[in-house]
Amino acid sequence: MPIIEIKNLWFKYRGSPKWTLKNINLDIEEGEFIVIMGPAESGKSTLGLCLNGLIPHSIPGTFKGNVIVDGLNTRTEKVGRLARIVGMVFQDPESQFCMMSVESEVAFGLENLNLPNDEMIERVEWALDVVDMKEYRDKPPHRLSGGQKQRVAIAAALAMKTKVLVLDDPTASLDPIGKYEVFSVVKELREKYSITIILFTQEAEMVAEFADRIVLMNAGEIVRIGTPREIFSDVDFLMKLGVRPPQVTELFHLINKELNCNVEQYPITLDEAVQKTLKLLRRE
Amino acid sequence: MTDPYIVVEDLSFTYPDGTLALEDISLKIYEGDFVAIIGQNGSGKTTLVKHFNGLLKPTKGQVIVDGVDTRKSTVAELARKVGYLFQNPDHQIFSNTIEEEIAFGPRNLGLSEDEIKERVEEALEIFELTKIRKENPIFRSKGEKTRIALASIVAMRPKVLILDEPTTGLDWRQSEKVMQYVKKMHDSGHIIIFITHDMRIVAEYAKRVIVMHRGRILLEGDVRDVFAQPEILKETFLFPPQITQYAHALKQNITDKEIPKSVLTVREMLDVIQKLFAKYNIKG
Amino acid sequence: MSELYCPGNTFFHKLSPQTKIIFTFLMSITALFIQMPLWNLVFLLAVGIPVIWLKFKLKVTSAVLKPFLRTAVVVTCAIAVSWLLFSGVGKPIYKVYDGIYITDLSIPLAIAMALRLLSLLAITIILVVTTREVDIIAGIRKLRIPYFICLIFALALRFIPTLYDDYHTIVEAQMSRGLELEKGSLLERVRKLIIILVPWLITSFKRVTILANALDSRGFIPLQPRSFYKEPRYSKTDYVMIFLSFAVFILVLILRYYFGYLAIIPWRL
Repeated sequence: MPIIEIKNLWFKYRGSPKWTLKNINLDIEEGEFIVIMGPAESGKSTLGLCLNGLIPHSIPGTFKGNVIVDGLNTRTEKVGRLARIVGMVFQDPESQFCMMSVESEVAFGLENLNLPNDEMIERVEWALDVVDMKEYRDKPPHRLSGGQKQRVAIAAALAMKTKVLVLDDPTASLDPIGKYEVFSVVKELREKYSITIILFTQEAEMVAEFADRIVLMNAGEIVRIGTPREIFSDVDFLMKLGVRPPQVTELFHLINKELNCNVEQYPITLDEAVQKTLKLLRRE
Repeated sequence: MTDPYIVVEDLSFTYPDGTLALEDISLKIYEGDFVAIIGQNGSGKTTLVKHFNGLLKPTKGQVIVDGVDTRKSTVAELARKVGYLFQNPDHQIFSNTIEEEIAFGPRNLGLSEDEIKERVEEALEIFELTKIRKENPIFRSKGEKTRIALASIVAMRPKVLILDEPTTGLDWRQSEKVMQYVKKMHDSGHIIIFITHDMRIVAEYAKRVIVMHRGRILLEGDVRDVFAQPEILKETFLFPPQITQYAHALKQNITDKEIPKSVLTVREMLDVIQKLFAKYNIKG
Repeated sequence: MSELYCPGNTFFHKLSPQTKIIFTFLMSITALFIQMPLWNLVFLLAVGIPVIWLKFKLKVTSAVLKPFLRTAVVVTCAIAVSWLLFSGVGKPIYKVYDGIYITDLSIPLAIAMALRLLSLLAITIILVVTTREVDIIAGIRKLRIPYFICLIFALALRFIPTLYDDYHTIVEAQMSRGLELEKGSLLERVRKLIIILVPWLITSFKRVTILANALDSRGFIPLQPRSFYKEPRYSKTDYVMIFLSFAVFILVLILRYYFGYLAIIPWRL
């Protein structure tokens, strides 16, 4: 059974004339790394909020259809209960940081779970270790960089041992080093732990290599689902949608189209592109 | 070469709490400049540009804007010459209608009502806001708000436009739109100084790049020259856009003079590939 | 507050936070019951000497403490002068202006009040310099204050610096558009504040929305049973300190109200 089943989901914010989400159907298997991409106003963030019950419980609107998370229906379960299965990392590193130190931030969710002290201490240590923030345990949020804050947010979700981790464009406002830190942690989570990851992002080049599937959204609907290669290779479609594929993929598409050179498979990473180019050029 | 519009001489800046933010910065900004300032958060980018409109005054050295020492001017006086678009348009927008928002800056300059009206009309037109001029800016999308904020700065007709991360948080289409407006401003005579983490935008729009690292200028010069030194950029964990890196990697494998020292866009790379195909006799 | 904390391993650092809170509270009230220069001085020395000791032990950075102390000195002088000139008790000895007299009682009262204020300052410094913010919240929680109140207090402490930064950024953004906050009549200046207030309220509201979602997403359900991460424990030293705090407080009350000592004007604090 998929760990997340979204069936015929429609959502409209209260007071809004149009539907923000239209007929969303998506199954996500346990352990998958799904990347959801789309232009602004495509409904991505709204979809994220549906995954842990914030919609419909905390955010008013018209909700149709069902979202089943690990067998639980988000309509009937409280957000607090769903939070044990789905962890969320929001886009704004500053405002989602609730407590006054890194350690207490990670421990907060564990207190909410009413865990015994020994277990909390163990989980906090482990989570901080995974994101490499142990030496910052006493630091308050305003002393941390954006990348560090997001890593703490990931640790806070990890410590709760959720089965699913949803990250809503976590690197949008970060500097290059922050982006790298966050993607490194996500990569490591994917490789070492069997956690299901749903990442909303614009960074095609960062995810091309390690996403299992990419979901494209536009104007509230899912328009396409496929592997990174399948999705990024249709460069014309992506450009029309307003999503940028990796630059090397764009290049090879143009090589194919305008230089009339038949390239069977477009590269989606830098290394692949270099290899393919060398092969092309040595073809005398 | 005309006289520089902004001269920075041996600028050092220490915050009241003792942190040294800028150390011995010297640079000149000229008429017609389109400058990108890049660097990790904390490298001093924002601290530097805040000296250009007098928000910060040097603790050592001096900053001369259009012949006037910033220490002898108020921010309001310098606002006539140097406009500053803050990263988050929500930090600026407060009016009931878009046209009132745009009128705010010119009104602060003490212009006559007729002059203000003229400038508002002009700004509304340039930024394609005429149709929604009576709408409340607070409820618009982030892309529109950025446009509105930019319009309200441009209405003051400053010579220099400083933009602090104008495309952060925007999708590709919105970013392109904003940068097109910025380019229009540059074409009509404004000096552009923008801070960004998006290397693609730097490659596509900037003519000159200043790389900041720990309060000092690490690298500075023509955009092609700067991106031709990836080893130095790596010191501060910055990477050129994927297509630029691809060109470098290719050049390392086939040292061919057809590959220039820096490739800035996918189109440029396509031309290079075309030449290489011709050279190596590759057909479709 | 986190700026004032200095890590260390002193006697005060080792005390549990709830003990220090009790100590701060009781000693502050005690100070308010002492109203005689000599005894105020004794009390000040009693709490002041640990502060001086802490300063040397911890090498407190003066940069952060300076503005704090400067305000304290200004307020103390203001209080002293107002008691000196406007005490309303005693026999006038010197006329400063019509209706404003220095009296035989106002001089010792002014000294007493100033010393008292400095004592309160010293007590607070001990608490703030040796206790981390997170521990202060833990201490409040240990004292059985309902968690909801502790959380609100913690969130306020957490967000005050952030909201202040937002305010500062907005002021800069509007100044960059030519806004001059200092100029103009009182009415104009109030109008200008609205230009700062509207964006500030909007950004604060957005922050609060994200925060609320974050709290929910971490499984927070109000009034549900929750555990206490690294709950502070009472040690023998804690019990002794609490006992001493109560003892001093009761002693002062007895000395003042049973024996009539310690006060120049017994009918008021």
